[in-house]
Amino acid sequence: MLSMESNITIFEKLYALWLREFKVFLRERSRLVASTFTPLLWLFVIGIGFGSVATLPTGSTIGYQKFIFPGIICMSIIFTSVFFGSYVIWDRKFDFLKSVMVAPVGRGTIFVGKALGGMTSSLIQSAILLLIGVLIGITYSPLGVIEVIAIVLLLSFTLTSLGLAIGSYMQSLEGFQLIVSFVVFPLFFLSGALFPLDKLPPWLMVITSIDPATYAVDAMRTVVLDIGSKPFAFDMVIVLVYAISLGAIGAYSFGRMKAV
Amino acid sequence: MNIIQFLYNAITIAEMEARKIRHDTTELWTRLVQPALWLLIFGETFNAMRAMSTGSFSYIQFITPGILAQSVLFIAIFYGITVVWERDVGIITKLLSTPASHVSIVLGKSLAASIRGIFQAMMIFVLALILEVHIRLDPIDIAGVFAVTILFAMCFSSLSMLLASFMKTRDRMMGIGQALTMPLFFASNAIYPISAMPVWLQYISKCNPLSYVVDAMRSMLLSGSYENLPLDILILIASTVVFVSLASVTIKRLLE
Amino acid sequence: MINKIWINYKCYIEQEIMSHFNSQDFETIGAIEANNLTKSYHGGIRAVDEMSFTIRKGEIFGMLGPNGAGKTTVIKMIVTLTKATSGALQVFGIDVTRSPETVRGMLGYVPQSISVDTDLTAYENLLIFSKLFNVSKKERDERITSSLEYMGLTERASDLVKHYSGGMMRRLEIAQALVNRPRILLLDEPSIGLDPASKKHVWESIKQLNRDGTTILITTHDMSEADELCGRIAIMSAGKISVMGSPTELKKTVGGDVVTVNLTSAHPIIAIPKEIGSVVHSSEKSIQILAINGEHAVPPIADFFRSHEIKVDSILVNKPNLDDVFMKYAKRRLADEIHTGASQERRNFVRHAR
Repeated sequence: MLSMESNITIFEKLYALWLREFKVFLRERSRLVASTFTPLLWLFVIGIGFGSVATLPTGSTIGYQKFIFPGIICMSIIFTSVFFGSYVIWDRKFDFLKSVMVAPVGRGTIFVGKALGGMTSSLIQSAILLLIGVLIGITYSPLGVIEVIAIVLLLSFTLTSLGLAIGSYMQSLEGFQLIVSFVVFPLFFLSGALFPLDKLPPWLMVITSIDPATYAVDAMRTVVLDIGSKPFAFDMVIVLVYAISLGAIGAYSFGRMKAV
Repeated sequence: MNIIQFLYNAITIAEMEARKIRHDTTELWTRLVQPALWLLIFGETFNAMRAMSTGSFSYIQFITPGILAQSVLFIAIFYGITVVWERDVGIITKLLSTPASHVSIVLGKSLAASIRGIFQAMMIFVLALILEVHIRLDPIDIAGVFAVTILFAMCFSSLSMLLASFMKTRDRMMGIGQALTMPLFFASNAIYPISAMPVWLQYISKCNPLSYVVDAMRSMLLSGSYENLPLDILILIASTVVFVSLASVTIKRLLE
Repeated sequence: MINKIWINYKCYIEQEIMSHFNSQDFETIGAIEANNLTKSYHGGIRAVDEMSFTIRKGEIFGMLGPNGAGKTTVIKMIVTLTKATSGALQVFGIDVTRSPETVRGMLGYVPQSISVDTDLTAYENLLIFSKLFNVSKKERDERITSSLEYMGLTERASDLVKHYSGGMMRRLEIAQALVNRPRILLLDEPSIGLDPASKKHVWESIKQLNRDGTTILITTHDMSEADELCGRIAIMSAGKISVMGSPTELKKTVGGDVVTVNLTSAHPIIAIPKEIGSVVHSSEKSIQILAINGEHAVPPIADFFRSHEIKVDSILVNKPNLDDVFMKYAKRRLADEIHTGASQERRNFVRHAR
């Protein structure tokens, strides 16, 4: 009798799990279109609308539209990654989760597989937006592209873990939506994506400094536009720290989750 | 059909919603988070930056009616999703099997949405007061704001129900909801004045019903000049009548 | 003042009904009358295919058939939730397409899937629907209380329905349908998914309602339910009525009871005299005999085997059930249909929910 488990390495298992997530992603093409639509809306309507109306005190040589561009990319990562976690609830409802749970794969592996799936969809999303960036006059250097990819991967891993953690505790989609409006939207709003953070009252500054997205947005701004308030390395280290801690929390919650 | 009876049926359906709210107010509060964030953070920040010229009012004054209208819009459009959910659990079937006419049912549901809308408007009003935004406190103006809110919510919730009869599933309605609210919000004069927009955006905003509502709100909350008000309200009433009538005809499609 | 308008409106409804026919007709007119009723969908699928039937006042009429036979569609057409593609449908002589609201005022409808509002209490559910059915304020309270009592829900009346069990929700639905004292009660699969105790309670209530004068139309795929409750049954399949009659009549048409004789040891095939019955099937150890009345055939059969010194192990009498009736007229077994139906339901749910 063949012992299948020992013949399949952890990488093959991960690949299988990732492939399933990727295939689901491809099938839900309408979701891809819908989730690209919102960032474009922000970029071209608010970007131009505010851009022509408001004058930014800082970075006044760069228009408002370009100013928010890095933040908009991060916004799409934030939303797609966190919503990725909600699919866990669907999976649970339709018992797919149960069948995966009883397969000879560790919970940690399943978690990583899902996280990789989330990261892939974010990457594709960001790639589309970056291409659109060219249309509004953004240029990239080869190193810049690599750095951007790094930011995207780290941020999406962080937020996918967060989404999966939330998804493992929520029983219903409504509850998930609740969390989204209480957590995700503030996360985005307070990340400095839409406006420079220096003019905020002190109590809000506290919140922005614990928001992982703030650092990702700043890093993105440094790479893409060359205006960032903190050095790139500093931002990346903070995001890495968040990635590791949220990844751990996410894996832990996922592991403790009831499959029923 | 007796007209009093027709109205009574519509009010009964709104009563359903009122009773549900009495049992569970959670959703009312959670839907406040987003508009509150917009007002608090966006409003205050840009206000402090003095980045925009908004006439004789500060930026946060300018944006308050816009945020108020946007939050009511959000509630109204997402009411279509509630109706789709009610179809899923069979409540719509039950309602349509009563002697109440389809028109009274749609009208009643739009009144139900406006109950939620009123709550939003009230809370944002209070929030604005807390943030010390100077808004007019004349009782007639306040009554006007609530009247426009009710009408506005009725208009867009019946539009939402009309769309729901064609979209039919919750997923699709959520997609439509997002696809509608964001553009309507951004391409209006809610957060920036029309006069400062590029021409193409001005044109879109002028065709956007939300702009007229925001305009009406602004005149009641800020300026006190009512010159555009009659036109705004007329357009709103006309749209409401159109949407309610159309939705009454198509509501049966929801059951198929 | 408003009350007066209510009472006037109710009288107006009654008058409208009466004005459609004189008192003579009222006795003979069918509660529900369908003539060549058809409902077809895009692609030419006919859910209901030129169906004609008359449901008499005061009877319990059952529509028996598998999922997809068209039972729910017929009910939906009666309640004016869908429009027929062709054909005529009248309720107490009133055309459903011409006066849908009047018709709805005469009916009580309990749909197949539970459709009570879970975010309200039982009392509120009844209150809202009594208002929608124009029950006057004076009568409302009394009717709500009595409906709740009738269905055994008085204690939990102020609890939110989301905390109810499935059986209680179903009872609430029936209570809701009763509040407007309908002339005809339409129940689509009334006891589906219920535990045996709730099922019995529901059956009892249906019988009691009928005794109190309500005409009842039930659709079901549960043969025992149709057998237990219905005065007349229409067996439906693929949008058509295969046969109509009382359960007893229909069972008789199958031909009689089957007596199975099991032998202790194998015996070559033996001929049975015609007076006792006719052999339907025989193997070495078991013989199936068709007889008009199974119980009366047992003694002569036992005597026959004893006289031929063949040792009998056991004798079973099987009376035909509606499954046999269905088999004869629809050429399929009802029980098999239920299994495929259930998996289709599940598939639909998955598809719908995504």
